[in-house]
Amino acid sequence: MREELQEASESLPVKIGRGLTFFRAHDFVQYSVGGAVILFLVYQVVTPLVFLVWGSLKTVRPGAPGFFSLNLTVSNYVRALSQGEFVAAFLNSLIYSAGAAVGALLVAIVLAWITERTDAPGRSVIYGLSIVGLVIPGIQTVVSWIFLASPNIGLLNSAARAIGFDQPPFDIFTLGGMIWVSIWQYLPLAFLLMSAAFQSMDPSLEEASATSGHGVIRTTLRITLPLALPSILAVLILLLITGLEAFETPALLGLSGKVLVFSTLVYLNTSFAPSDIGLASAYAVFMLIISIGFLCWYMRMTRRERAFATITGKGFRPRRIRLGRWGLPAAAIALLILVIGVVVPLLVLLWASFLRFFQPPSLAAIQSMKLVNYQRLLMSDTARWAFWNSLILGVASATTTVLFVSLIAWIVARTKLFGRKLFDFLAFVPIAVPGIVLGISMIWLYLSFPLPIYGTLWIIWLAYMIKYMPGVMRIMSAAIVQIHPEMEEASMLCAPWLMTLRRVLFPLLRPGLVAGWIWVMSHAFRELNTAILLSNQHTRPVGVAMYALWNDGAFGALAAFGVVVSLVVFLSAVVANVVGQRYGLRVR
Amino acid sequence: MLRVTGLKKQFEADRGASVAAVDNVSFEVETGKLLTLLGPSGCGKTTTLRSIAGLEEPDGGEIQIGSSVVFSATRRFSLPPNRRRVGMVFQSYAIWPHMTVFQNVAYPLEGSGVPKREVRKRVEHVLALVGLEGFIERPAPFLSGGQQQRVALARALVAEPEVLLLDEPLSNLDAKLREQMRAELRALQQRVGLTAIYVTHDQIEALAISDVVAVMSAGRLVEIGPPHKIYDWPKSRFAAEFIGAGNVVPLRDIQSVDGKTRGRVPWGEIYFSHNSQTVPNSLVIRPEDIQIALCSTKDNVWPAKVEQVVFLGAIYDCRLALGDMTLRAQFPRSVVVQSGQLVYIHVAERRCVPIED
Repeated sequence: MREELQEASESLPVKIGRGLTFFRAHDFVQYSVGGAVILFLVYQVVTPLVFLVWGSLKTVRPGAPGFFSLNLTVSNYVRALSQGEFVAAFLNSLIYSAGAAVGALLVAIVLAWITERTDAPGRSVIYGLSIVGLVIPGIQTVVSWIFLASPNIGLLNSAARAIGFDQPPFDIFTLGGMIWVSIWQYLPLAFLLMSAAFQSMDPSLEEASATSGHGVIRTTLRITLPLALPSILAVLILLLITGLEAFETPALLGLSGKVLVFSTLVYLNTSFAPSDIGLASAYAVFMLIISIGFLCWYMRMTRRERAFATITGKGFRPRRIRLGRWGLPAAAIALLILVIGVVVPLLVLLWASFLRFFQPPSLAAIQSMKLVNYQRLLMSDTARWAFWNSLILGVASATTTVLFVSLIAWIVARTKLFGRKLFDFLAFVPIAVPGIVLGISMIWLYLSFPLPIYGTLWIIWLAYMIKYMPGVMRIMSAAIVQIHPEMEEASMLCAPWLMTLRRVLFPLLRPGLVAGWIWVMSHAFRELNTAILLSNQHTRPVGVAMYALWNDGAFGALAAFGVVVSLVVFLSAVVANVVGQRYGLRVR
Repeated sequence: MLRVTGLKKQFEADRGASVAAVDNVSFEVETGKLLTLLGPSGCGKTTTLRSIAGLEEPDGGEIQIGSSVVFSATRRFSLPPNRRRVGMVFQSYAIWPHMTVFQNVAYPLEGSGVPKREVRKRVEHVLALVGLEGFIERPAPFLSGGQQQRVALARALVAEPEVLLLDEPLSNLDAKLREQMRAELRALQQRVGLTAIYVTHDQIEALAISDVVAVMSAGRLVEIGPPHKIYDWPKSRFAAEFIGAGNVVPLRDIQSVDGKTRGRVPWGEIYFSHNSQTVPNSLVIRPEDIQIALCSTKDNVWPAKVEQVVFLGAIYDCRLALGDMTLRAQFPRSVVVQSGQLVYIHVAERRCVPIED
């Protein structure tokens, strides 16, 4: 029997080479699965961008004859640069993303420091309020602030008028307004990243400073901050990339206030007549270049970060600073920040969702509160279809992305495959592809490619698998590093590769799989930036449906919609967590 | 039976340079015997073990387990780990925390066509063998370190492997438990008649548990033999210094005098047993073979000054100055020595082991 197996193995091609080991019979499944995964990765990341750049060098539309001819031109770029809008959009994009990133980071540092490194009371409330934005569609935050600070209907402005202001003091439809709103949109992300950075700081480094005779202030200035600086910078760059790709805030506030950024320029040139997809592509390429610049900076930053001892992956329990009588004031400041930035907008939205026409709170208004918006939502076919589409997209992209990326992460972490570092990089690149750029790249690709998925949910699903790869890659890599390789090797001694994956790797990865799934689901369910270019009225997910409601001026319906979406996202996260815990690892 | 011939494994170091982790290692273990690969960390012992298991792909050599060749570089043939019929106990135990003890131990029998009832019987049998009756349904996270170790051993044995591989299995246990497990492991291996390879950096463990000790250093097999032979008659400076704490002193002017062999060490003349044709250039003297002498007239007696005394309970661990040399010596508790004291020391002729350094 064993001789036969030897014969069988020997008849297969075998080769030894640099980075490659023997090609063995039992590796066949592993190699074909691994090969397919890598091919799909390269296809997903590289082809859309190639088509985007190619399309930006053409004057014919994709699918038209001559699209694949070598007749290239830079005329789109020349036209882009000669438009007056270009310089304005360039400056606006930079100011907007820098302002929002720095603002969100500062707020996040204060809140994360209080929750992770001090003994201030009420830390769990601060933590909860800081991340509640994770389940709220971005468009909803914008609408809340319009209800609060629009010159015409804003509650703050009505209040100001009541106390004697002639002019409304707040105008949300400005660059400053856009930055203000985005600070609160990016707060959850910034907060989570900063908490992680503060958590993973080795307390013995600070204790060494304390035993050298230095107090809290000198230790903070000389040890804590310099150690945290690389992480802070890395988070800042990630936020800059997020700000650059933002669409809903610039669209809702900037288009009304005539503040254009790159993402709205791309949108205008694709979606409104006369549409100019060549020009839009040129703008998209500019966006991509800036974004990739940020990405390179980020990678340099995080590479150097490894020289610092901050992120070691050990489960440290950092010592908390005793605030004593400063505890209450610190907690009060944190809560005040969160009430202004998070709680009030939520309440306003809830308020608006019960009103047929938005009005300031008053006795009459309270009496006119109705469920009419929710009823209309339930009756409306568009809304039902949007929820259905979002549910399909959310579940499908979360499940496939998590499985696909965990295989890539496994290949990168566990094999000696040649080029595995490149795959790691490729899986991270989409973080620098703004949603709207991804959208336009997918249009180019599937209009010129003989795969008839343009205008279906499939194209959005493929786009989401690209878009959410980097985040899931981070989660899965961290999860795999936690698992001792001997766990898998013990299984490989008596079982084939697929069984090792099914019985050992995936069960042990379950916490990571669940976290990744929730992360994708909660983002994909309410995504707007990519879907806005890729969907039509049949495939429209809730993000796009909400944007349509905004364009129709149906603010009450929009508010009700947002409340329901937040609840659905929250519930799906809870359900995934419960399911994950039931079947997941039981640890003592 | 296990035979490893000319095993080679290179690892890539910086900038394309490669380092030989295992360099032309050959040895053979008879059926039912336990061989220990002993050496400091980074000597290639674990790489050798993992190559036997199929977890590493060697660059050269041949591995034969039982009657079948499982790896051959020249024939470009390599059997996957799950077809090599090996059981392995990992350093971290690698007990799957999402399974119960039963599921962990029964795992190697899954898909092998063994009927359910038979699986249960074999798991119970092997758990009894390692002393874990009654733990069969316990979830893995609820096991102590010693119990995890036993589960790992049971899992490695349940499919009745041709060879049992043990990768520093006791290094995560505390000293008391380690000694107890070592004795149990050896008893079990002898009772069942297992062929086993045991990797450790602990020389005491190696001497206590093995039929054969193979000493490795920098990827090479330095010496191989039964424990007492390796200890009493080391052939290399490395083995002499790594196992026990042998003093290695330079030796010259070797002559035959009255049928005895005499040479010169830095502090005087020394008689030693020498019966081969080689010309040694060093002598190994074990610390515990140095004795306090009562008279100064015998052969192999020299004056020495006690420089340092460390009390280790059963023995005094001393450093003695003989001329420019410092020797390490261990005296029983009954011998009273003090730092600064002048003594005469004696080493029996047959306890001076010549080596070619």
